[in-house]
Amino acid sequence: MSGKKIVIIDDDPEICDAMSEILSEYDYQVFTALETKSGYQLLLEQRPDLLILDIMMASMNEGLDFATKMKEREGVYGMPIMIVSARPPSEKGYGRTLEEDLDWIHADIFMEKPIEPEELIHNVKLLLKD
Amino acid sequence: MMKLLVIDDEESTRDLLRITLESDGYEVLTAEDGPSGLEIFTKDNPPIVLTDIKMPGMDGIEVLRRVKEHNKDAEVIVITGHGEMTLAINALQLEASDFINKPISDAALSVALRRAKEKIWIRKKLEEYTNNLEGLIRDTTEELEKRHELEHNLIQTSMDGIIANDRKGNLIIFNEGAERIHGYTREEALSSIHVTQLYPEGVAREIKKMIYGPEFGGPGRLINYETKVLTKGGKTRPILLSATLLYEAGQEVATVGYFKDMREVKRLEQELITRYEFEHNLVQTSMDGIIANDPKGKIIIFNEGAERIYGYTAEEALSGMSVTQLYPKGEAKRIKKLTYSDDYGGSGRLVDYEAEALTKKGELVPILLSASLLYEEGREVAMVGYFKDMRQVKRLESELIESERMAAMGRATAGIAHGVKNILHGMKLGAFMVDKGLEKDKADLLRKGWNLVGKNINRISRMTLDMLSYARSNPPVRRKCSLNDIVNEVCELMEEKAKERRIQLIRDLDPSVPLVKVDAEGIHSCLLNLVTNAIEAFPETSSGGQIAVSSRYEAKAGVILQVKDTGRGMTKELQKQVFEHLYSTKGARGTGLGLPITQKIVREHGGTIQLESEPNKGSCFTIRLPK
Repeated sequence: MSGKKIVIIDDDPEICDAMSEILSEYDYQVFTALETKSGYQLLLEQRPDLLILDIMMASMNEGLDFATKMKEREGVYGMPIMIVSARPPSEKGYGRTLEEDLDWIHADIFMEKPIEPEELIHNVKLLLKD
Repeated sequence: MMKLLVIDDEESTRDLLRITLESDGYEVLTAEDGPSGLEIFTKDNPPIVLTDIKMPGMDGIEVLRRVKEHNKDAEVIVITGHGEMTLAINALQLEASDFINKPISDAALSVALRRAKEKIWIRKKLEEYTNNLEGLIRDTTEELEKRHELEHNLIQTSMDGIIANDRKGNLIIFNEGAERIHGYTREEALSSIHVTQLYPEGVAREIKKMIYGPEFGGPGRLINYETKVLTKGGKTRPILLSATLLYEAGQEVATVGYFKDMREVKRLEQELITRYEFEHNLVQTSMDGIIANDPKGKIIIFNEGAERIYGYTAEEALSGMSVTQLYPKGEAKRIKKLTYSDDYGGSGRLVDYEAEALTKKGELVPILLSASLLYEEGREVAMVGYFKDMRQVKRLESELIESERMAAMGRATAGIAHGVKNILHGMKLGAFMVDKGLEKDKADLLRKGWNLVGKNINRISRMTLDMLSYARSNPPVRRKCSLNDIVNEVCELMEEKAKERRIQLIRDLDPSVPLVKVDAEGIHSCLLNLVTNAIEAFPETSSGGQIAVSSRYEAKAGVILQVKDTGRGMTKELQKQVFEHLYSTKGARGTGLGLPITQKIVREHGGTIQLESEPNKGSCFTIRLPK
């Protein structure tokens, strides 16, 4: 049991619950938040080993800005960030493509919904070097 | 009072004369000798002097001479003694007005005085008359000169040619206008041209005949006779000629002709025609229909645009058709009334009024009508209508709506795809949990997973229904129903869910809300959407809040339905997005279609939906439906 900490920020409580259940099965300690404000508190309190962030939250920019901020702030201790989004990287029409966004977000892994849970586990393990 | 000077060396005579003359009303001056008499004369200038002839020193003859020298108009009466006839004659030769003998009789004195006064009066009148006459002559001369100048100028500068000839045909007047028309200078014409040379051969004779004949204005006159003149260069020019014979003392002395250069007239005429044609073309080829009718309703203008709209040809329309035939029954009358009223663009005008045209085939074509009354000298002479065929506009409008709908569908599809992905995401996670639960024999995990799958199945079916509802383009079926009943239904349906989240659902219904013709199902889903949103505006961990659903009736505005929550509220940015983009703030729980559908339904009812919101304070949706 690794006991590593993962914080999930997603505005859908059911998704938070499900992710939490699944990751718990793999012996991770999971904390969830429904928005970035309480999510940030959680990050400060728990200093997790991984952040899983849904960028398609109430406002798309909320997620993107948050990820960037986290990367800048947490860069020193190097918390990896996994971004989960329903929007494919190629989709246009929001002023920026996700490839462009990724340049400055520096997310470590981008996963498009719907996520294959096996793949999720695989990527989590990869980022946590388990 | 007339002054009189009496000069006599005898005091008795002076006294006698003074008394007599003073009593006759004269102012009498007296002197005892010639020199003192002349002194008084030069000082007081009496018009009549009576002087004795025989006086010591200066005698009466010398006095007379000196008086006349001083003023030849003074009347001098000499007084002679018996036997001094030679002196009297001498005095008369020196222009004495009379003489009287001593002893002076009253009768002789008054006759002499009367004569003297008559002479003075006549001289004065004559003088006045002469003065008047001179003035009269001066005035008359000036006036004549002015008149002559004026007439000369009039003649000379007249735009028309003016030519006069004497009985022999010699030209005596040839003005600038004539110079322009004929090409001769005035000098040339007056010195060497005969009137017949001014016309092509035979024309002068013809004109003469016309002047004497009864046609064109009667004998001795010719009015507006169209003919041709011959120019110096041998060219003929069209002119309009008026002529008259001039008489002096009953004798015919001259013929005067007034020539209008018809080239100018023709040019103006041509210009008018061109202009008319231009305007006519403007009217005829206008894309809009232009129709004018006289005050009785008879059609007097019917252009090509009108032909296109109505299917009548201009000939058909102009052959006595009434403007009332161009509209459905009663509409023409209504349009007339509106044109006279102030309602659409002011009295006498109608601006952008939507109406229907009744075509020849009996079809109704939507038109946009502007009309105006035409006046001539304050009298209404016609009404002009400008018709825009709205079929094209309506077609473009519906195309635009269609393309907007397609764009909206595109946005909707993106939103839907997003929603579907979220749902699949949930389902996959759920299915994975079911697998894991089965695999590890964990009933709890299995139940949770299965629950998640089930929830997402519900979501996708709800979403499908929303999509159908949004994509539906046929108009809703409307029936009279109670909006308060619909509000009650929705609130009862949502009561349980509100309670779960510790939210108070309050109803505030206005009993005066009348039955309104609406699509009950549509309004039901609108309210359901708004109340669902309101509930979800509270965090799941909410410690209670309030949702108020109210109805209100206002005679002017219609029915107002309001859903107000004390939830998390929205930023300005988000407030714009909720209607414009098919966008969900609820992650997998929303389809992003709720508000667009609500808006669509409200609009289909001719109503409006409005949102007021403030972050952390709550949101308020207001639906206004016309009665």
